[in-house]
Amino acid sequence: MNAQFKKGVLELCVLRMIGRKDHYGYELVEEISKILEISEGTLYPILRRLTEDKYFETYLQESSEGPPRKYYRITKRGKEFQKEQFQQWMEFNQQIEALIGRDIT
Amino acid sequence: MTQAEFLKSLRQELERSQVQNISDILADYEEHFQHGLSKKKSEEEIALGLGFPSTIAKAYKTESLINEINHPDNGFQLGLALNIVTRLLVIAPFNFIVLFIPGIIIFSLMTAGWSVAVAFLFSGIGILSFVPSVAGLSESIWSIVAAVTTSLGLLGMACVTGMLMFLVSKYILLALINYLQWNLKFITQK
Repeated sequence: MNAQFKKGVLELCVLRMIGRKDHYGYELVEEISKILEISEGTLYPILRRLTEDKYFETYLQESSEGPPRKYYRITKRGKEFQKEQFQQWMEFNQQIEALIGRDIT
Repeated sequence: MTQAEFLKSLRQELERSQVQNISDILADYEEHFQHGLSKKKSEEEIALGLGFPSTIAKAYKTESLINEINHPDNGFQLGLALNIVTRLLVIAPFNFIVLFIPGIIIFSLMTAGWSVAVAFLFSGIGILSFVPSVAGLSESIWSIVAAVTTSLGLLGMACVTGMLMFLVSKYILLALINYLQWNLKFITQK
């Protein structure tokens, strides 16, 4: 997939996933890279920016298996932003679908 | 690439891209390695999955640029405010000399001019009001004519002076506004 195209979509994925439940970085990377082919390292910059923008907050949690985890939790501001981005994505999808249709041929 | 090699390379790339909070960023990748290792992955495998350090550094650079675009005025406005205050301080003594001293002279001249106009007006009216009593005292019709014409003359002078003062005041006021606008421009220009 085209890199720039992917970056915008990744931001939405991260927002939605953390909006649904708190994730730690490795877990998030793992889940996304199971479905999308990405350089895993490029996900952390997105997480950092969204955290700096106060859409996420982080907390550390010890775990019985493996090292301590840095969890990301969505903030109120993040929820609003996520909703907005999701709506834009849906609208955009519909508009593009109207242009290009649904069939592969 | 091993973990140490990856982190070292990433640090160098981040430094080259002048990204901030490098140690925080590296901590995220360290954690990623630890989680990967605890899941029985090799360091090489994890590094491969993460991608090139140069690509990652570029991504951080891009993200910080996005941040700057989204919040362009943080810190910048403080600078602007300081700048404006400095300019006000620079221009204040200048304004004092330019506005205050000539200001007093011009203001007194203007007041004098307007007073003359008003004096003409009232003396004209005043003389006119004496016309009936003058008419009673004197037999001659000429004294009435003289009083009326003097009054008219004075009223005319009042008109001329008033118009002249109006013109002068207008230009002085316009000049003052221009000067204040220039002041404002000087203070707010970036």
